[in-house]
Amino acid sequence: MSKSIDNYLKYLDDNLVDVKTIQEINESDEHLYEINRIKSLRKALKDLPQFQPDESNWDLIQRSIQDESIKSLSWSSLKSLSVASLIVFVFLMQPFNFIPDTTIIQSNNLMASSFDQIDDVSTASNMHALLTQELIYREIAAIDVLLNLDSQDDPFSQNKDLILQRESLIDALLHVSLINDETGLRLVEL
Amino acid sequence: MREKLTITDKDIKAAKQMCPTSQKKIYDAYRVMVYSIAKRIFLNTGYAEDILQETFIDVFTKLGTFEGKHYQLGAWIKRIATNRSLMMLRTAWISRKSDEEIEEVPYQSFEHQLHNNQELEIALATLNPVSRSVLWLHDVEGYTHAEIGKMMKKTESFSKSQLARTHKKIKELLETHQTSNINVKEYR
Repeated sequence: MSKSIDNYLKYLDDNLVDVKTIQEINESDEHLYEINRIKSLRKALKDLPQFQPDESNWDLIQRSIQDESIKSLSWSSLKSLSVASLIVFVFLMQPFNFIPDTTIIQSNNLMASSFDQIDDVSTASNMHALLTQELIYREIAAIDVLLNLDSQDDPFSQNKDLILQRESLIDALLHVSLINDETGLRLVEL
Repeated sequence: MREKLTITDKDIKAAKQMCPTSQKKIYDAYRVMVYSIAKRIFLNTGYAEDILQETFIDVFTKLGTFEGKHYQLGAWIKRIATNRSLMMLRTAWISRKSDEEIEEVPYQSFEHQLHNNQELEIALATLNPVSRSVLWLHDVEGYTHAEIGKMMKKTESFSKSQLARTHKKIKELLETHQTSNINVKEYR
């Protein structure tokens, strides 16, 4: 054993520091060293230069924003227009019995689903919703008259087609989103 | 140099009404931040420009939903940029492509952007995009492990273990670099 180590061990004995404590001190030093190292790394990362995008990007972004706003505007107009035109079309043609019943049912379903697609309730005015409901109620009333006449002629007849049509119309009515208390009561009656 | 443009509540209100001047002002204030996040994650100008565009299109089309104050706008935009970047990173196509493309990036293309940080830039470039994203988002952008885990659709401990491994790898890389000036490709 060299003299310096001997002296060192004597120093440890004199100062009551055992080997375990030395080890703990070293470990904690290592831990501190690691923490400082990570801190330095973070600082260095934060100091890295930022990147400048090319000026031409703004033109592309602006064009895309314009496209997006035109697209959303035309889509909402189209939705309103399609609902309005369907209502007008069915309303005008119905008295002449020009449209087959199935078309009316499909139109009603389409109208109902169009209303569902409209996110903004204000876009679909209450007037549109009430008109749609009124048209459907009229259809149901007409079917009820036919069913009554049919049952008077033949008490045992069951006109399945008319009953199915009536059910479809009630479904369409349920799809119209703006159901108030009054229409709720009318639905119960049906 | 970091930009110091100040955005006011009035600018935000005008931008919500699609005022081009206010939109440009917001873009100028945050474009470097958005582009830098994307560039740090992908190391690729094309992807970074895609993220820049997608982020600002999102910002201006969804600004109507932003209800915060002007000083919160930066954090909101940063979150959109980060989500956009991570979304792109998650797609299988990018995960497959990014490694190949990083390999194709020659060391020289970075060199002109680097000054005294060459070693660190090289070490960053050798990390895979996921590790680099975790490191950058945690150590530079200040996101917590819980936030990173959520944004990456992973757990909090995934972020913690990724970061610990990345720190270890960076340390090893920097130590290696101190003794030799090795090309980026040699770490793969």
